[in-house]
Amino acid sequence: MNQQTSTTGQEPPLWQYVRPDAYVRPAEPTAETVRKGLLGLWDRLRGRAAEALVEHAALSDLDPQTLDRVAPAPDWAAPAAALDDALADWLADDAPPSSTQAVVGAPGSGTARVLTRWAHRHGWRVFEAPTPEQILHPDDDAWIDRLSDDPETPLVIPRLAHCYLRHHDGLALLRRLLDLLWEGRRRCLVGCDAWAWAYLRNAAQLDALLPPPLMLQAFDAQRLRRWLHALAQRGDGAERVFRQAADGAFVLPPRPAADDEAPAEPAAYLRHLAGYSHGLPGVAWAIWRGSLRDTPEEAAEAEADEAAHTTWVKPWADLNLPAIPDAGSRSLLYVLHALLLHDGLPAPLLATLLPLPPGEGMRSLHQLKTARLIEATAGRWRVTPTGYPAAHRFIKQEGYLTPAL
Amino acid sequence: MNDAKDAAQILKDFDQIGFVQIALIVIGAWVLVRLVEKVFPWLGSKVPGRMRLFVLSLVPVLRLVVMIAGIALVVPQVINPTVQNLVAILGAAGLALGFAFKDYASSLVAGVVAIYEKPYRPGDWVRIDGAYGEVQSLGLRALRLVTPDDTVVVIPHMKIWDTNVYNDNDGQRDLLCVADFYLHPAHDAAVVRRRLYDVALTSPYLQPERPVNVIAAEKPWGTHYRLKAYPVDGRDQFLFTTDLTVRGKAVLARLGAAPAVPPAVEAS
Repeated sequence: MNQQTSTTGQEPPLWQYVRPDAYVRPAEPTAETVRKGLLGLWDRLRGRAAEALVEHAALSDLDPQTLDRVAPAPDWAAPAAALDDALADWLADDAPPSSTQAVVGAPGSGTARVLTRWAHRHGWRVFEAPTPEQILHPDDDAWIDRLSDDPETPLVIPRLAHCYLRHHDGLALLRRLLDLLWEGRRRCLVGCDAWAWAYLRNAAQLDALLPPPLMLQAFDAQRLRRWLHALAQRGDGAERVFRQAADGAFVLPPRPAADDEAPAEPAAYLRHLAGYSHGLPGVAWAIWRGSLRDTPEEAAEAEADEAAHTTWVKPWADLNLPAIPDAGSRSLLYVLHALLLHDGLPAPLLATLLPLPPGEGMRSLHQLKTARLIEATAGRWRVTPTGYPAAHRFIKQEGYLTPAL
Repeated sequence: MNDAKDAAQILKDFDQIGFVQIALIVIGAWVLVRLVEKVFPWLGSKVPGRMRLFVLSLVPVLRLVVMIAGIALVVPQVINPTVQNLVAILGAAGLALGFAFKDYASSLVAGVVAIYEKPYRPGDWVRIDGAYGEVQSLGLRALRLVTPDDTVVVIPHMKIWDTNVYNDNDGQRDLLCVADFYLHPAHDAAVVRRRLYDVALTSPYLQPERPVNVIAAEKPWGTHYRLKAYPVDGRDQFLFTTDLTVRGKAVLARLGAAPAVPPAVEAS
């Protein structure tokens, strides 16, 4: 079993896939909820985006190389190993109730990467999503016919969210796929973004066709502490401590609690981070990287003799997190919602999917990009990990469909 | 002689009446009412959509509270506040209003009743006496309705005594919208029904937690389809219906379903 999934005497596994009824989303500290609520309302009344930028002049940004050593990118091998545990019964059963199992994750849970890695490890075939043109022309059988290639090899479909479009012609291909999976006996592991899952539950009756999905258990403050500490150790192996820039309190102490010790209470910063990020590791990691500051030169000289290097963490209240630029704009709402429901979209498709005035889609994309809420990767515009909590809050406040994650 | 004495006892002596206090109370109440009428609708446009109707519904209640408080403060300045005096004053005032301003008084009373019975609230989409639109504000005497053509209609509250009030959303954010399609009878109705269902399911305005229905009815001139669904926000009802109509027409055209032909009218 992977080291990061191992348990100490008192702690649950770091990576754990659970059914929806066992999923626990970490709550934001009450003080933070009130602060965000009041500040958010105040910013709405003033008609401008929330700003909370208070730079600590003495601290400097980490250069990219140092940042990659201190907080390297997540390694999705560990959750792939955890998926083995969650799927053990299903894999061992020769005639399971459903030959298809879904894994659902919100942005930042790394679901598609985990499933792709898992497929490669187990020799399952990765079935890539169709192109938008194939989705919008469901009579074109080229993509669905490929499903019958190599019929003995089990399948992994890592991105179900890329197999449909919220368009009157965009559901038929997905329905055909689901019918084939439901009727067949071939094993299939399906990864689906939580937003697409929430939509397709109604639009394609996913709940009726598939058993309850698995989802990565949310990272609470304890899990985040263990994970961020492990990431820092993985970077270059150097001993590091992470301290709050405001009061010097430890965010990550020099070493985690030993197996026989009761774990200490997590720092307030980590409780904020867990709640704000919805417990999504990718979101928490992105915010964490943006919080790290280097030691001032004079302090660095003073600590040269110390065993562990100190990295400073910006106080939570001083973080400059992305916010909705113009909360009154309906166009921003529709564009953000469409991007989330499809796990990102190419810009030209916005005009096909949304009844916006000409040019309004591009204007909204530009506005959201300037606000650091979205970014373009691999030809798709996606909500950034740091912008996800603000986007989720905005859409939920307006009463539109949101997932529970 | 006794009557004159009683009247003198009801009203305070002229030099005991606090005219300055009365003026301050009236001005204060007026300023407060104006503030409520200006600030809360503005606040309603700024808060998240889910809170809008709640904020708007506070306006008539707060105005009523301010006005009752104002009257309660002014009356003791003018009369000796005993039960008999109050009954006498209210009776006289009621009689005067009943004769001179019957309809006005009826609308005032209906306005108070409307606050409690809630046949309409700010933000509701209502039809009263042939006028359809969103209730923008509830005044003391009348409500202001804004039609889809941006025309303001002022309707006295007394209409609730003898007129049916059709309220589309009744305090909820979403309201049922219907897009109509009229087709020539020669088509595959099952396919049309399925495709229209998808048209509603894929609208960005749709409230997916409410049902979508396609109702078909055969008529002498063709088939009438009614696509019924709820938008998330009632303010989007015309955008929603337009979206359903535009995309529905495109789907039906691709299916080859011809529009219904109106029955010929014989020349007399």
